[in-house]
Amino acid sequence: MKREFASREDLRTYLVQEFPTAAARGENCSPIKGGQRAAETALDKIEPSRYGFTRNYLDGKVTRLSPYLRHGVLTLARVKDHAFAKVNDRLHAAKFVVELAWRDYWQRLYKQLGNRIWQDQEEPKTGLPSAAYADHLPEDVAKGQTGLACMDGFVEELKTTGYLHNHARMWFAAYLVHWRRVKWQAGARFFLTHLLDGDPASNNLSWQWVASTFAHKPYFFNRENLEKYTAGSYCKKCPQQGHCELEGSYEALEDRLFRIEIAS
Amino acid sequence: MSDSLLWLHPDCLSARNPALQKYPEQPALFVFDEEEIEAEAWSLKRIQFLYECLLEIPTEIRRGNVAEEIVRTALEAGARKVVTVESVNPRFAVHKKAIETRIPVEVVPAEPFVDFRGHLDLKRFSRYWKRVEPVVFNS
Repeated sequence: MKREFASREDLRTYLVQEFPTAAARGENCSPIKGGQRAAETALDKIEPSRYGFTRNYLDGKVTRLSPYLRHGVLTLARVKDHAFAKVNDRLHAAKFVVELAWRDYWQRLYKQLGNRIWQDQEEPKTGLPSAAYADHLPEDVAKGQTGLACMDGFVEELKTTGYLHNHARMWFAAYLVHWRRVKWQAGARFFLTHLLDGDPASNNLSWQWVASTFAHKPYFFNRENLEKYTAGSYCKKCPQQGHCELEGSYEALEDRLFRIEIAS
Repeated sequence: MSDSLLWLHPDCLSARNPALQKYPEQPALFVFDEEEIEAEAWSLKRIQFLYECLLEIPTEIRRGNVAEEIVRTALEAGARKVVTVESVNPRFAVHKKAIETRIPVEVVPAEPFVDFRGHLDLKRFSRYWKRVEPVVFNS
């Protein structure tokens, strides 16, 4: 295949012709550029200590290194050493390094599981039978037309950039599996279509963690939590304001979403 | 005539990858795995990201059946072996097995996150991290 291109747009046009079926699933390119040079620039910008206390916020000091780690442009070992070199005390880089370790952990599990990574690792802890969950992604979700500004915004960002903040991934996954009662595999496939860091290891096992097929309990959240970590950017403009289905205390939502029997 | 053909795949898209470091003078080939792209239903931006990585690596780029392309190219070049970097992706194992029916494959280890030797319980992250954390922070 060709190696000379005048611009990113020139390359994109060429790839649309070469891979028409992939282009039919989304023919835009991401603002995140591939390659060693872009990876080195992103690596130089990391701030491991600030990452530790801002990482849950959508505007926090996250690194966006995952597409480069996924494809071996950067190695976990190199990023870890770089992070340690940027702090006086290694503990100041601890939260960042733990996230690198999660990737190593998922890779080790993938080696054991192979294609079984698509199967539930454990029974779900939601109290609901597997028949309660739909096989396919609902069309309004896929099109970003749920009416929830947050979820529709995440879908738009995913499709446009090929990237989502980790917290947004967790909220979206919890919404799809627990509120919409869709099998985690449908969401995992949707992410793999678009994420530049799409890797069945981190992706599928994180979906299973949210779904509780690889965790002691299901992960869920409420509107207040999402509002806090997004600085209200979605809630402020949401057409569902005042009657948001994500609203409620954790106790009330747990009752509404799950059928968990409390052991006496 | 080349001694080896370097087989690049989506887990080793750096010019610093250990196979290229070990055999810097040997020709390299990357094949877009059309089956994988369809199985995971990739959108174009994923392909573009990989392509941009590949443009910074001295390698030929193709698309199609990975094993067939690698074997054909290696045999045409008179290579004695194919060299690649290890990967946990199950598709890698499938391709490697198919290539090995025709020509030997040398797998170069990837740089590990942590030099941990011994058994790791992967039932939960907490169990893994309990063993790995001291090595990460003290080495």
